[in-house]
Amino acid sequence: MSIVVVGMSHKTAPLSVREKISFSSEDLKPYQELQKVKGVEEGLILSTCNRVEICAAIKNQEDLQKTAQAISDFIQNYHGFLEPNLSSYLYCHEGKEAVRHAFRVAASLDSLVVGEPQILGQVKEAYRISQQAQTLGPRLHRFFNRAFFVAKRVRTETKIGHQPISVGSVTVQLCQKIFKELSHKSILLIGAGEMAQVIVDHLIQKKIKSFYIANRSEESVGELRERFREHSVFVQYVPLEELDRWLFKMDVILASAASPQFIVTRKLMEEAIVQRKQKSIFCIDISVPRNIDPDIHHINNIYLYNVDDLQGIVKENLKHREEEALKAEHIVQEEANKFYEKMHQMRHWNTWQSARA
Amino acid sequence: MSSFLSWHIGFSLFSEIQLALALVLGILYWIQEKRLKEKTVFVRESWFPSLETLDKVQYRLLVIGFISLTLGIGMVILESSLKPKQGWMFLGWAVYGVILYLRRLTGFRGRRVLWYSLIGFALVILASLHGMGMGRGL
Repeated sequence: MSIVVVGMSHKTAPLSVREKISFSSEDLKPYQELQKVKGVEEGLILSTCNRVEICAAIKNQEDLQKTAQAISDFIQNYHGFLEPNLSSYLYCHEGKEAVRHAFRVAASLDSLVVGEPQILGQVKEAYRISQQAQTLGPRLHRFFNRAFFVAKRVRTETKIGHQPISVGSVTVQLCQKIFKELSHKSILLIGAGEMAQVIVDHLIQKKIKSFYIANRSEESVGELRERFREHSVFVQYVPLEELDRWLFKMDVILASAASPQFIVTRKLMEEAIVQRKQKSIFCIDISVPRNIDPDIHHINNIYLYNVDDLQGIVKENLKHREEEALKAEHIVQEEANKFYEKMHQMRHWNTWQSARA
Repeated sequence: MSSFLSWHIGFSLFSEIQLALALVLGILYWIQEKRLKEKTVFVRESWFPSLETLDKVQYRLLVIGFISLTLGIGMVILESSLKPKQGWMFLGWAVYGVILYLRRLTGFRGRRVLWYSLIGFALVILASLHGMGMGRGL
């Protein structure tokens, strides 16, 4: 018995190719077709936005090349995708390399964002559907359970997913370092640039219930209001000229208006912090030119981070994640060697048993 | 030992524990605040709770410690056995009283609370050490 993985990922194929060969997650038809592929004993299809892979257990090692080609043809024919150079996008791993590859995928070492947690859930979902389609036998069952174990080991023994690596998640984590519970906090948005909307999406995930939007006119906040309505979030419009009357109510201020002068000045914030009895205020200024006076960071209980600070943290965390990924690679290699050795021993045992019979 | 004195020792000990814990939380708050101000909060991972949590728990401990300290002093007054060591205790009590008063009035918190707590705690401990010394006949 051997294992083979045939597929393509964000590293080998552009989205325009990947989208043409992706499989629907709930459709069992490709599994039925996969079972008909010559040489395939058991199979699992993993189709995400970054990769399309078929992992198969093969009975005869001698037919490995032929079966890998048959799987590749299956991918192409199933979608009726006639790309002459498809093989240049596909990779094929077999034996120990296939084991290592699958373990790396489950442990999120082969992901676009190394260490992101979603991939493990996607592999588990693919495993569940394969079970439902009855294309999973004892070999792949054992194999994927080991892959889940390896992914868990990587999560617990390294800090690969500990630090946030996007501006949105860094902002949310900074908020959580200041405030206990975000859901009841008041967030003021001054302007609504593209990056601000990304941060807002992250904040909405923390179940924040009320946003205040400061702008020159109420009409310009219509789009954001519409967007918030989907999440049943309360939105209050704040005219820019009345900002001084509202600032003391805000726990978080996110500025992205790109106004040529400071909208939030030191004087305004000094008044606001006194009015709210020194309760902390977290300010994020991602506008260029800056809209919040950088001097306010020196006021007690006010914390100001600008776009460079956030990106600096992201950069540092990425570096840290790369170091952790190296540790994770060692774990994956060690586990792949162990699993392959066991698989090898079992193959000899099975051959000896069938010869005796 | 009279029952008032036993109660005094009990309340004083309890308040010292609460105030010591409040001091520890004050130190954690100061470290976390410093890391946020210096923008090094992600450099080393920490298990620190949020500033808000540290502040709320510290405030509760200060209130419980202050009430307990007041009761401890009250027991001494009831026994009418005021000694020099109670002078330190009164001063410590007054410092904690100022912290709580300013907290209600202006939202006094963070680093400044830590410095005031340090002074208050030092005075309370000094009073206890003085009392222990007198107990041994020093």
